[in-house]
Amino acid sequence: MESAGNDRRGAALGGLAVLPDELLCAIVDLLQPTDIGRLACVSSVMYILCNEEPLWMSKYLFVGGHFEYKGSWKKTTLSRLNLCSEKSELEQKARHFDGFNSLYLYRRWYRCFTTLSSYSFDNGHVERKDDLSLDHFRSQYDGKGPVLLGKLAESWPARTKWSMQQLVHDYGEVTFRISQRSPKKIIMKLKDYVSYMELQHDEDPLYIFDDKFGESAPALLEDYRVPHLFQEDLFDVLDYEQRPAFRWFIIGPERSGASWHVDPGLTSAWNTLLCGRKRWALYPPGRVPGGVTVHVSAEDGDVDIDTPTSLQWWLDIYPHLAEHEKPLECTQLPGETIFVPSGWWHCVLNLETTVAVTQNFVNQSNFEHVCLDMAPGHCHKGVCRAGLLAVPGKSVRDMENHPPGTITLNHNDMTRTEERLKGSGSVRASNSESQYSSFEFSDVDKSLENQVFSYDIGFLSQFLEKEKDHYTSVWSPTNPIGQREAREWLRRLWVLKPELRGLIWKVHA
Amino acid sequence: MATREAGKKMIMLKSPDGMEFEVEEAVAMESQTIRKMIEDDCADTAILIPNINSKILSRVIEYCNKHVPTTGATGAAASDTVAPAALAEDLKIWDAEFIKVNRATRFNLIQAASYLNIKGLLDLTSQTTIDTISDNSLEEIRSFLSTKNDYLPEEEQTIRRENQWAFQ
Repeated sequence: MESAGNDRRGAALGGLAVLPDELLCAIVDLLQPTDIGRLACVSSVMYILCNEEPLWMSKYLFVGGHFEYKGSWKKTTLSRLNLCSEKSELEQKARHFDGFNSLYLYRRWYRCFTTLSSYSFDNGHVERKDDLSLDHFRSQYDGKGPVLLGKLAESWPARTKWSMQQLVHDYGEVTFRISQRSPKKIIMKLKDYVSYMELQHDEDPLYIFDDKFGESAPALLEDYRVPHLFQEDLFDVLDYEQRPAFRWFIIGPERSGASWHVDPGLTSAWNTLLCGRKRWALYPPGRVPGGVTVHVSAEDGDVDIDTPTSLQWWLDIYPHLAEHEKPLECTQLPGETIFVPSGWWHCVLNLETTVAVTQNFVNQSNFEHVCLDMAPGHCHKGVCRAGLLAVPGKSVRDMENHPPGTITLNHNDMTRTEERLKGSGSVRASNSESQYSSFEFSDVDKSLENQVFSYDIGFLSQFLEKEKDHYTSVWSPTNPIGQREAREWLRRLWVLKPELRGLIWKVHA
Repeated sequence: MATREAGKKMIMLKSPDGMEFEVEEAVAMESQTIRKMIEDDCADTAILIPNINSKILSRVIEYCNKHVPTTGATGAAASDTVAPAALAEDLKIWDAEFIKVNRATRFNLIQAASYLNIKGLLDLTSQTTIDTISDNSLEEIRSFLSTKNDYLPEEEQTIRRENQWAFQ
């Protein structure tokens, strides 16, 4: 963005000055580290663009390897690449050039340095209970809506043992996995992560999200137990190596957090917080949050979600939502467990350093949804996540008479805003249009005319592509388990859980 | 005005300098920005493309024409009949020719590709820019970008020292 006092920009960028700052940053990001270092010597504005910390974080993630934070991403990356020595010339002081300003860079900087300690919000719309009987949970919440439970973790050793201090003492040398993607593996010891956490000012800080902690730090498994409400997990019948990832140990600083998503394979989840506070936002199934786009591949049913980071969403999109477009929200406190039902959209922002454990599960309430989601084809996957937006040619108007669900949230207008906000139906095939319209839809369309979206299995099943079967169709790469494992799973359930045979027969048909 | 030629839906793109280009809808939809307008019914039969003059817009349309997936008789089964590798090789050669333009045009193409959200064109134009930065001397980079060295002499010295690691 150009504005007053930006006279340096034109000369220092030359021909590139026609490009907005965001695009310039994206182009610089394509360069190799040494090219970035040389470009910095070209002119003052190039220098600024080439010294942005987010740029160097991205460069480090590309390089990967053993992680040791050196106080800045630039230094971390260069020392990782042996391009500078430990006590090198990089002890540079922040440089300032008059006559250049950038709204894009400023906004990003603001996100990195904003403080969230007073960003807590809770209007009580997510119910709080100490505990529930299993019957009560099943009839009121499972498959219906989220709930916060205050006393499920009361007796866990984790309540005292999972402080950052104690964890570093006990597991400092253990390597944990992070959520950020990188072409090369990043190897990070907990002690190195903690020193990074204390120094960093990243917009989207590295986030420990480790599904293998049961192997790397098995003692952690002794510190908590699966709460009595979530004991049933039908993936239990599979061997550990066969079953999909189902439990995660989570550590993240202020500003970190999982951006908008629906849990893999339409599983349900519980998440218990041991330290810090997490702000949650949730939408019921089928209601895509503003600023988020779902892509479902017509080829293999691969589901991909385009979303800003949690922080960016809360700062840039959330404030523009009308009251009735707002998500269901709460702030989870230490010791509390939140239950997230199958198919619900959710987004989390850590307000300070948090330690949590979460598990995903399949029980009798979501079993059919999980099975439906593994079926070949893509339309039903789109509908489960984006509702009727996923139906080609289906007008959003049809949803306007949507009766309020159990949770009072008016999602009708929201969906429309989302359409406009994104400028397109929120689900689209990632392939060409011809492929998208090529598959059989005409029958469904007609019968749908007077229907409204419902997460009911009967409603969702209409969107299965009947001509596809499990044996001849592509198995989606985003399915939680492979095709053979899925068949083995149903076989074992048939043998080991005779009481489920009715359900298994239904999903198999 | 939109017309129908052999069943193909046409759409009109207008540049701010008053030129009009009639293109197949499928070609225009290579641009995700235009695709969204069309899918949202925000686009009538003519779309004004702001900020992109007719010279650049005609090049962009040329690119989209070349890159639009073939439809019709060969369309659905294209991947089975024509070797995709050969097709990709063809396109690569075509792209290399296409991008042989002066730098002002190239930067305008980057801007257009970004605004219209045409990933292939954005990648192509950005990569060409990157290639001229990589492995060239500072003077060559400055001359290529028409950039002015706006450092004070001692400032430049410090910055060179600071970035010595990049020159080894």
